[in-house]
Amino acid sequence: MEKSSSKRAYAVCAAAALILFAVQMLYIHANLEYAGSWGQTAAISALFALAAGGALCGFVKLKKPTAGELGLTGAIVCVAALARVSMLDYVSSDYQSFLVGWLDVFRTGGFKTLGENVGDYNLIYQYVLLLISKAPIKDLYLVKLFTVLFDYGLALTMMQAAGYFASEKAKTPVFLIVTALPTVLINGACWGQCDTVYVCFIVLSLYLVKTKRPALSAAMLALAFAFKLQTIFFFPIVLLGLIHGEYKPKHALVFAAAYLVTMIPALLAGRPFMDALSVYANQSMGQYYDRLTYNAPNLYTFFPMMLFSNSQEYTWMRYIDGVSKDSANPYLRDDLMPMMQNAALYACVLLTLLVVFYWLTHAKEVTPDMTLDLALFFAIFLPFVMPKIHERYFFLADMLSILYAARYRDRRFVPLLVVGASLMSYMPILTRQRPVDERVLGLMMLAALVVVSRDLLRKMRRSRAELKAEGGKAA
Amino acid sequence: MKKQVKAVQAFADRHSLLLGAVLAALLAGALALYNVSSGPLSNLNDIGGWSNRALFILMTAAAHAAVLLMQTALYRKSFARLAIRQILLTAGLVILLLGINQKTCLFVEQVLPLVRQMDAAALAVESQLNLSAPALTVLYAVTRGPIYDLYMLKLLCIVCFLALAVLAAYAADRHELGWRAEILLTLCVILPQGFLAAGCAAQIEVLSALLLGISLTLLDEKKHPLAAMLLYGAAAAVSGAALYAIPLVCWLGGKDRVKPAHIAAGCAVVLLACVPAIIGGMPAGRAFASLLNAPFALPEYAAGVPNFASVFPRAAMEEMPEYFMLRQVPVLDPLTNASEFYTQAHFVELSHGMAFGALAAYIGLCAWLWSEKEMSAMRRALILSVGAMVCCPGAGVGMWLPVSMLCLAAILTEPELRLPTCIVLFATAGACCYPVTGETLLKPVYAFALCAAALLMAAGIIPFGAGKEEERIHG
Repeated sequence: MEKSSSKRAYAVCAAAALILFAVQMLYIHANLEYAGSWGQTAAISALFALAAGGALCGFVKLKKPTAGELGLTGAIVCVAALARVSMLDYVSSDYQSFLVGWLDVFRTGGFKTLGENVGDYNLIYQYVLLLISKAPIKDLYLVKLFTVLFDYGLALTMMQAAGYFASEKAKTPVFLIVTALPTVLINGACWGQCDTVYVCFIVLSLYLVKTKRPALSAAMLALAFAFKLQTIFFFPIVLLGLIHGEYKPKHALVFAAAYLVTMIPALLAGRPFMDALSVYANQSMGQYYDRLTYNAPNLYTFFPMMLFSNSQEYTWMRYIDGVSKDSANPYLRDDLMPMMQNAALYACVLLTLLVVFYWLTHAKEVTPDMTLDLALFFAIFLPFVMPKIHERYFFLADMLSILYAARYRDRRFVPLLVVGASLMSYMPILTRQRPVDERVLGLMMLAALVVVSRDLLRKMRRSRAELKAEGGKAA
Repeated sequence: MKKQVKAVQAFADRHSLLLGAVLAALLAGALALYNVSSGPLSNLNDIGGWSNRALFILMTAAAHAAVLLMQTALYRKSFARLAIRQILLTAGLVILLLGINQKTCLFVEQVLPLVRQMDAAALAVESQLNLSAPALTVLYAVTRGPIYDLYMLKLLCIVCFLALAVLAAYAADRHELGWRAEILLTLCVILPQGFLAAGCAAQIEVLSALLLGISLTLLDEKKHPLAAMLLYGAAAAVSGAALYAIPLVCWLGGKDRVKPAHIAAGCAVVLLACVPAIIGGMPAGRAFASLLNAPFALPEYAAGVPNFASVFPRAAMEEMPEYFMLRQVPVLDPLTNASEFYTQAHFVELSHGMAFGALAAYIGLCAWLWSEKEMSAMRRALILSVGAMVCCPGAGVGMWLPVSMLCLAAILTEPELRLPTCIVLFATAGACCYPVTGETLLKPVYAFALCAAALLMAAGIIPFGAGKEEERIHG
């Protein structure tokens, strides 16, 4: 793209952001409950329009699109931005039950609060909450804005990754798909969760390591890990990177240093070092003992729920007076679930070790070319077999499956299975209903796992044959 | 003898217009007589006296004759085939009239209360339905006569549906499908969706579907672009769902034929169609805003359409697909037993967000189709129309009827599209009994999944059939 046309493209982005700002402002003023004064309305609209405009500029910078591509992208980004803004008022049970209280603590306690353990979130998110609590705009909107920023960041990162793993042609479709994907729209703008944040860093880390920037990749992985423990679903790929020499042992130091940097504000606020380090230990020891799966479409959808309110039928039976949300089943007792959780966890650890052992013994057959395949395999496999998994933990699988589809033309149905199951698994927590039987969703995810595993094994077999042929030639 | 038959045949073909008109009059008269004695209109439960019954039978005969004359005007090549078509249409009318007394869930719970409100407040009523101001005007006009509202509405919808079937046969003739045109006409008139949506549920959107159908036919013929755009404007005025046909209009109209003046005339029709409602007491702002009801308002309860909006469960108990079962239980408390975390407000916010999200997806789909140069016209039309209906939240079953007819045409013309089109037909037929009976055995969300799968099959994203070997290999 020449300089003048590039300037024109940025001008188009600015114009799109301005139009979006105006339209959003009218929409917010007319429809949103906590819009506040015109000034606050303008501020909210400006923040969301800036985020979308920034994404468009990022797209121009990274893709250098044609006029048609830019027009299409601008239209879809703007409509998707309106989708996000129209869901800002949605108050989820998570926000109501947890975030409201934590934000109040930060609002009254200020910076010093970082010295204590507020809620069970990681440290970086606590810094974000502290900043949000001090802003003059409704905190619900700002919590969502933070994730929306990373929605766009994720879309741009996925676009770059698609360029590497698939082709230059796949970049724009992947960017647009991620921007308007229902799970991405709902996760941030509706639910106020932050899964796009850590997944954005993971995909960035994957892209950086494949483009020979391992130190930066390790730092990004540390940031992802600092945001969410679920980054561990990606750790087998780090092992693969080490075997292939893409990472060196020294990059472990980069990872540790980056992680420690994220702790500095908390340490300055007076938090004990060990306490700051053990956030995830507290989380995983944590609160949940009543179920094997928290709406995740995995193996455990086939096991009965202890509370009747978590069952498929409760959705409609709750309207009948006298129906108890607790179990009426004498065989599903309080002590059964922790026991089952432990049993499932041990079995899962053994199974994972078995898979990793198989894979290590065949490490030579897994070429660097198979990184994406293996990453997707683990992103589906681990949450599929682990107990106590939440529905959102397949978010990484959602994204990697899109890259997988971009790479392999005949596997474009894989994200339909993964994202479809993911989206429908959000329903129980968001809508308190189960429109699709969760066992069906579990089977959809299993089908995706089978397809990816089969592809991977077939490739490994082919690679083994090639190695044998090379060995024969050398002999 | 052979020569004589041929001579008679040639004579009949030469005078097919006149003979067709005579046959139309005869068939209409015969059916009227049959209705007087023991036909479907012989027992009209709510007609209110012999004079009303006679008037209604006369109106039905006139409508019948009009449809047959339309067929005569559009097909004059062979009188024998014209006669077959007229007999088929007459048989279709008899089938459709069988449900004339059926009081459906849609009519009793939603349309009738609205009509009763209009008796008192004319067009100043607040409609719970997604009807636009012009559609409301039509509803008002149709229900003002001495004949029971349900009968008048059904007659209008049945005539529109039959006219759509005639258009389908006409399109088949234009594409030189030979005898398959008669097969298509037969399949159209016995379409369960037509019987349920037009003959039973009397969805006024069928009128919009007909206007849209005529407009697209004119555009496809590359004749009368002004008339085409005027009709398209009228279709969009009756149901905003027709706005989702803009890509189809652009594709068929082309740059050269449809001039800006034609587009302006179409827009003028849309606006002018609101004037009667404004004169009738509807505030101007609400009248114009109602034009966008179908694309952006909430999907109607029990709409029975397999679109993306049906993925998200409704908040109110009486709007759940399970309600038919729940209403059997006398002890119900929908208020205290409802979830505080998923109220009507949550549903509204989620629906609005997803309506924008679906629009973004539809824009992406159209852009992808634009870039696919190799695709057949039928496949392109099918993808565009199924995509439009899946993405438009407020389109009722009436708007899905042209899509169903297109599916039938695809079955007859493109063997490779048979599986996806059969899936769409199954899903729409399974879901559309919802507005009729208030219960559905194919949940809307599953119907949507089927339609989405069919769409992706037609687009080549979900592989099916044998396929070419080289396409199935990874690369």
